[in-house]
Amino acid sequence: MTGLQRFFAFLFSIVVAGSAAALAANVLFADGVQWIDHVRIALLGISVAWLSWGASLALNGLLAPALRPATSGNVGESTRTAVLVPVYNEDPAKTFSHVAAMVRSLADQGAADRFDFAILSDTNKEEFFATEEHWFSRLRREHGHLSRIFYRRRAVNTGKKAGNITDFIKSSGALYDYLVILDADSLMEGATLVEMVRRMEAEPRLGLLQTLPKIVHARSWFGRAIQFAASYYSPVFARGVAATQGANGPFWGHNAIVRTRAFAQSCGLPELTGRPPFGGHILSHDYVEAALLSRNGWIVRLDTDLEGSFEEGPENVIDYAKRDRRWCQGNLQHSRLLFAPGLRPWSRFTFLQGIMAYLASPIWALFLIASIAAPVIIGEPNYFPEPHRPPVFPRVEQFQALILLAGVAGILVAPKLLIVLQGAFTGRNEGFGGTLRALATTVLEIVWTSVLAPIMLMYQSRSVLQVLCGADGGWPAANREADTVGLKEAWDASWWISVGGIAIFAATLAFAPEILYWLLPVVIPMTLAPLLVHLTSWRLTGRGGRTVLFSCPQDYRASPVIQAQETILARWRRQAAHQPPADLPGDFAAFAPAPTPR
Amino acid sequence: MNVHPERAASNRSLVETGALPFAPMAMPQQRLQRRRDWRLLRLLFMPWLVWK
Repeated sequence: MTGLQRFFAFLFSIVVAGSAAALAANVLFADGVQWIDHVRIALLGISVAWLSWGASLALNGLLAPALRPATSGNVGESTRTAVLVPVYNEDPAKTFSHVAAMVRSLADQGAADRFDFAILSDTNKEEFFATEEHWFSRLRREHGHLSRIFYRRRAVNTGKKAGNITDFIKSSGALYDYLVILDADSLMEGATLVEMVRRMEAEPRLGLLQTLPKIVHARSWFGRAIQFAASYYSPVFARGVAATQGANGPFWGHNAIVRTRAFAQSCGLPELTGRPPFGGHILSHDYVEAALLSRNGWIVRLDTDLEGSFEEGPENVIDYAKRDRRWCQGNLQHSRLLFAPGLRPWSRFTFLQGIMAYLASPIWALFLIASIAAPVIIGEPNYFPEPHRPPVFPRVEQFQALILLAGVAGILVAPKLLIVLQGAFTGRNEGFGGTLRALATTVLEIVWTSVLAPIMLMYQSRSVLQVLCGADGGWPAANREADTVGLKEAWDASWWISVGGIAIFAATLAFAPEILYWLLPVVIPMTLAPLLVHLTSWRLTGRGGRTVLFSCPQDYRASPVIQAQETILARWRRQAAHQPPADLPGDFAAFAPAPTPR
Repeated sequence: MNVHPERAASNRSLVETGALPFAPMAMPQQRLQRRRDWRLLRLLFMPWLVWK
C-alpha cells in the first residue's frame, strides 16, 4: 500500500511540474528562445514540483483509510517507562506545571506508578537554574507520591538536546523499556501515554512511535493562525506523511515514544568531521535518529489517530524565523548524510525533502530575479527577422500565463479547500464552528499566509545564504511588552526586507514594467514587513484564551491535561506572588508572576 | 547529578531525593560517514564556491 501512495505522490508531482514547465515554455518562448528562458523554466519546474509534492501528501492524507493499529490489552506491571523532559533556560514554574499535569493525568488512568519523570536540565543561566531547584522541590512535594520524579543538570551541554538524551540513556537507560521524549513545552494526556506504551508492547519491531502534537496556548494573531493550521490541516497532511512513509516514518524530536534498547543500539550520534555549520554535532538529530532506527530494521511509525498530544508554537514572525534558522542549518547539514552507509533509500529521500524545504525559498527568489532580469538580457525583440518582409510581432501569451499562475495558486489552495469539503462530509468541521465558519477561517488563513509568504521567503533565503557562508543569524535583542513585538524590534529584524521590496519595485519598474502587477503581491508585503511583523504579534485572544477568528476545538472543549496544567500554574504563580521575597531562592522573585521568558 | 558548585551545598537534599537512578546502558556511536567524505554539498554549491 505504501508503494502505491509513493508512486502516486511521485507521479502527481512529475505530471504537475511537467505541465507547468510546458506552459511556461509556451509563454516564455513566444518571443524567441533565450538561455534565460531555460533557466526560468527550470527554476519554475523545481518549485512547482516541490509544491506539488506537498499537495500530493495532502491528497494521500485525504484518501488514506482510518488507522487501526494493533494495541495490547494493558500495560504490564513490570513495564517501566521514563518520560524525559529536556529543559534549556525555560521558565521552570511553567515547565514543571506541565509535568505535574501529566503526572495527575496518569494517576487518573491508574498508571502513574509505571511512569517515571526525568527533568533533564541543560540550563546554563544562573537565574534559571536557581529557580529550577526550587520548583523541582515543590513539584516533588506535591506530586512525588504519584510518580517518581527526577532532576539532573549537566554542567556541560555536549551535543545539546540529543546529547542530553544520550547522557540519560548512558546513566539510567537500563531501567526502562520505553522512553517518552518531550520538549519543555510538551503536554500529553495520561491516556495517550498509556496507549503509546500499549502499542509498543503490541508490536515488538516498533522502535519509535511518533504522535502529531497540536499547538495550544497561542495568543497572538500569528500564533493563532499557526494553531488553526496545525489543528485543521496538519492531521490530514500528517496522514499523508504516515501513508507515504509507512514503516520509515518521521521523528520530530518530541511527543514520541522510543524502545530504549532500539534507540540505544541505533542512535549514538557521532560528531561530523569538519567545522560547523556542516561539521560538528548533528543539529536536526531527530531525522537522523529515525533513519538510524530504520537502518537497524526497527519500525518508525507516525500514528495520527493518537489524540491528547500538545505543544506550544512561536507567537510572532521573529520567533518563527529564529526557529526556522536553526532548522534550516540542521536540515542543510543533512546534505553530509545523504550517502551515509546502509541507510534506506526512503531515509535519504527524507533528508532530501528536508533540504528542499529550505532551498525552495531561494529557488523562488532566483525565479523572481530572473524574471525581472529577463527583458534586459533578451533585449528588444527583432521585428524584422527577414529583410524586406513584413514585420513579425512577438506573441503575447497572456492567457496561458494566467493559467500557469492559477495552476500554481491552485496547488497551494486546493488541498486546503478539499480538507474543508471532506470535513463537511465527515462532520469534522463541527469542531471548528461548522462548515461555513471553517470555510471562512480557511479563506482568511490562505490570505494570511499569502501576505506573510514573501517575508518568510526572504527570511528562509537569508538563512540558506547564512548557513552556506557560515554566518550567524544576528537577531535584535527582544524587548517585549505584553508579548508583542515592538515597532523598533520589528524594524531592526526586517528593515532589509523592506529595502529589498523597494529595490524589486524599482528594478521591475525600470527593466520589466510589464510584470509589475504580477509582482505586487510580493513587493507590497515585503515593503510593509516591519509593520506586518509588529501587527501580527498583537494579541488576538480575549479572556480565557478564546477567540472568534482562528478558533479550534480546544477553544470549546479544552483537553483535561491542559486544564489541569493551567490550573496548577495559576495556583503556583498566585502563591508565589504572595510569598515573601526572603523565602525565595536566587532570583526567583523576578520570575514568580512574570510571563514566559523568551 | 551535576550542579553548579555554588549551589551544591543547598542541593544536598535534592541529590538524596531526586537524583537519577544509576542504571547504565551502552549507546555505541554509529558510523554515518564513509571513509572518504564526498562533500556532496561542495558539488551542489560549486558555483557559489567558485564565485567566493
